[in-house]
Amino acid sequence: MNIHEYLQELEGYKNQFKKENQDYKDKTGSLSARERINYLLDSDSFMEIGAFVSSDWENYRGEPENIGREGVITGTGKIGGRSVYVFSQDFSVRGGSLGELHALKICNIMDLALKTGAPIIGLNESGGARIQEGIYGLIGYGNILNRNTIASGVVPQISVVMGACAGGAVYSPALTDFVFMIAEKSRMFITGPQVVKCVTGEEVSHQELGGAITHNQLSGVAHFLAPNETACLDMVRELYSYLPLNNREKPPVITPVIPVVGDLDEILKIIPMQPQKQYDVRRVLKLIVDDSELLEIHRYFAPNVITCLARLNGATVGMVANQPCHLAGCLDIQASDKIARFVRFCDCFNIPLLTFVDVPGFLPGTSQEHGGIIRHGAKILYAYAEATVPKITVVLRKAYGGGYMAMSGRSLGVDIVYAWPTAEIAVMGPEAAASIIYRDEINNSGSPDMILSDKTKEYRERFVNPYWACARGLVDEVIDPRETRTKLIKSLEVLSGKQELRPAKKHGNIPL
Amino acid sequence: MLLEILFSDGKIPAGGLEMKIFQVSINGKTYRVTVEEIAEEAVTKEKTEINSVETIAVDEIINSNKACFVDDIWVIDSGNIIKAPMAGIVVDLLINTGAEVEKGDLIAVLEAMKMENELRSHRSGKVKEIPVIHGQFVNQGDIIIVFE
Repeated sequence: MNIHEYLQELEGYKNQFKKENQDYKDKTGSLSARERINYLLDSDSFMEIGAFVSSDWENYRGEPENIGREGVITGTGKIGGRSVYVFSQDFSVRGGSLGELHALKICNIMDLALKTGAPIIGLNESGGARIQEGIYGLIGYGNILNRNTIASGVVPQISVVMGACAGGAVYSPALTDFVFMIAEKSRMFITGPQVVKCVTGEEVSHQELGGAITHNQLSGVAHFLAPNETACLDMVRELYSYLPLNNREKPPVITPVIPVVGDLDEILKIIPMQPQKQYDVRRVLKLIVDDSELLEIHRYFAPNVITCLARLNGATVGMVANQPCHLAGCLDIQASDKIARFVRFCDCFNIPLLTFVDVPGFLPGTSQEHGGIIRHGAKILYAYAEATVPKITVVLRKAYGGGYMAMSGRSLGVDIVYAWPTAEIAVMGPEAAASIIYRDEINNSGSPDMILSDKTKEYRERFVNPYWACARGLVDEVIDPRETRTKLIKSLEVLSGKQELRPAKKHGNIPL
Repeated sequence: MLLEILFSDGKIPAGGLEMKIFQVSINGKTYRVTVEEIAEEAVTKEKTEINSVETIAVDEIINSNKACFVDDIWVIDSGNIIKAPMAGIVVDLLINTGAEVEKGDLIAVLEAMKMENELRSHRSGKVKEIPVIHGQFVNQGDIIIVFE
């Protein structure tokens, strides 16, 4: 062979491995695995790694067309000019099933991502283990899950469930930081509807069992819900723009855009003066952050609390807030899991935490107690106390009892606590407190209701305000709500060099 | 803009306003309009509605920059029923059996955690049944509205 023949042979291999299954594309109307990568990354930035990997080499008969592709495309590229490693499973090749070499390709880029300190994005669509390869598929899964765990907290990991993900394929996304799903398209389950029916007799549709809505609203497995493939990949790019490349970096800072505020007094009009009235706390947050933009995480799961990424003066912040227009903004089992997971993510990646408090308390009742609200609520306490990033709390309205403690109360190591003049900080609601403190007086009187209401009023006037907490150093300053944005920006500047050392340990034991 | 309002009989009626025909002139053009006075309660209700419309409008403006997000889902889609999201007392029922409800309409107020929690409809439709009454205690998951 002369050199030109060698080059021709190489060209043949290249064509074979970049070929796409056009029939499959036409049938499903989806983007191909390669098109997804190209859409996600900056144009022409993709560099493929391991293109010629094939478990089919034994069947090679001298013609490149006879070689099967491995069902996953792996490589590296840029999003907004910053590095990222990507793999994209190809459902048109043996159902995207995972065999030994399929897993090897994924592990290879995960290793590179860890060594170079760049995030990993997985575009998942796989029927599970490649059964023809026997236990090699399982070993492959083990290798990926192991790397997911080791990379956790070192580089951000994002999973996009582009279609079906069944069996072993669901655990890798579950170990990553964020899971995206597409409405009416994505689905994830350990065992599919056929197996469910066979084993338990229960009949359930794919979407109901493990669709995007199910996992976004009910199970909390997914963090983002997208209407279609391209919108989903746009959302991934947007999320990526908030994140640092690894745990040694600070998040990126962009040119700040001031929030959309028509009227400076707008922020004074949101919280109703009656403590029993509800409002949408997102309106408050939008008036504080750059460009009025919030990237909500777990938007549809436990909507009684909000967790979101946003920017303040161009820099990424993580925000947690009670949402009074859902379940009164109380803390329950799901909300606890949602907050704790978010706080720990922010702490891993040097994202300062801002907490906005308007909490009536933990949700009472047997379903909560029997479901382990103690164990779940403890996760919030653990996560906040453990976090060493700058922590700032703003008490908007109610801050009662254990709920207040959990919502980043001062004693969990919070750096600065602000309160609006509307704040009510107390050990419990005025009526409950008065009925305990003045129990004898109330019971012994002729008109207990009247005494209770008098005592409640007295208690409210004396103790239910931010100034008592301020006098005791639980609150650093009571601020004019209109100053919130500027105060937060200044405080974050001051705290930017924060360093907090913890005793040496292997790792803590968060209640799970 | 010049706006003049003349009562049809040229006088302000002594017994208050009920249903009156007005002659309105805007920029020299004359219109005849019927104006109905409504009870104070209804006025308050309308005000609340206007408030909530404002909220939605602000959200829409802000969200419209990001077309990639799915429309906000206020309530979990529970099919043709609306359940109590938490235990509490039904302190207000704003609709009757047979009423046509629009998506996002306020249908009931549930007092729980010392808060008045607004229940909004996740869908449009005709109300078939309301198994709860004003003042009733409901548990989490109890059915509040059944649609046809």
